[in-house]
Amino acid sequence: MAKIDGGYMFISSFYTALLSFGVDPIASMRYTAIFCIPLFLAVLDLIDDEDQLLFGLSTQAWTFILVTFIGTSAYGMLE
Amino acid sequence: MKIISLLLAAAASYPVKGIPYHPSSTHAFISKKSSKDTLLKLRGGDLGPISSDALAKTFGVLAIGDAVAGTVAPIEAWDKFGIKVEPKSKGEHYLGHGIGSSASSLAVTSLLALTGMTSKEEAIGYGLLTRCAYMTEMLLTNKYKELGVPTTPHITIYLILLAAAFGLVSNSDYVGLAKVVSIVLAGHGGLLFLNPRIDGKY
Repeated sequence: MAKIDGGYMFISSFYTALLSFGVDPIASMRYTAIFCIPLFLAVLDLIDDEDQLLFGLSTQAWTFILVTFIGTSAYGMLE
Repeated sequence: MKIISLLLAAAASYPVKGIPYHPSSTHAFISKKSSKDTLLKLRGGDLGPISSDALAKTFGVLAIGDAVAGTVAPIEAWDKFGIKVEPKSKGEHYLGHGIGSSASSLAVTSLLALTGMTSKEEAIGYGLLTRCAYMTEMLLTNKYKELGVPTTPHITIYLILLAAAFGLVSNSDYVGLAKVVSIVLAGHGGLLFLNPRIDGKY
């Protein structure tokens, strides 16, 4: 569970670091979004009871949805 | 008739206003710049009607959700995802307080910077202040001691974060300190992510 805390601390501070180095806010979020993928995968690893997952979807389905969502969003943030 | 056809031919080869025209060519052409722009557009950009700005703001809004869930009701929120967290455990701290702190900081910084309500420097400052609020709560409740964090490093980082935050919010040139602080925090977070071994347990 400390892994999730560390991952979130990383993406939050990574965004701040990019901004402080003068990167555009949208471009910063693009790079930060990409790092959300390993964080979400780590969250899925923690699931004890797959039957209780939101909307009754399996972990594989959630992995596909989240990776697609983040990947598409990061692509959309390219300029 | 011949005159008309000659005029049409001249008009066809004459440079039209707004369209680049190469001096050695009789035809308008697409400049290298606009061709490059088209190619770059193929590599990404807005998703149909959704602008890149709106997509970036979406991530800021999602972070607000994480911040509220992690701060107000972490156990109930994680239960929705089939993750059991024991009350008063270290897990509750990491998945509640820890995520609440980072998510709030990310939400505040990104939304302020993306909406342009403040300068980028001020956005960073307010984001650090948000993190400091969570650290203040940890100090006041002595929660950091329960987690095995030594007092001196915790207070030192807390004071440096406060100094950087107030400096940035008051428009002083504290960007250098913000760079150092954010790299240290990102490094700490990255190491915790890669090797989350706490007291010999994951």
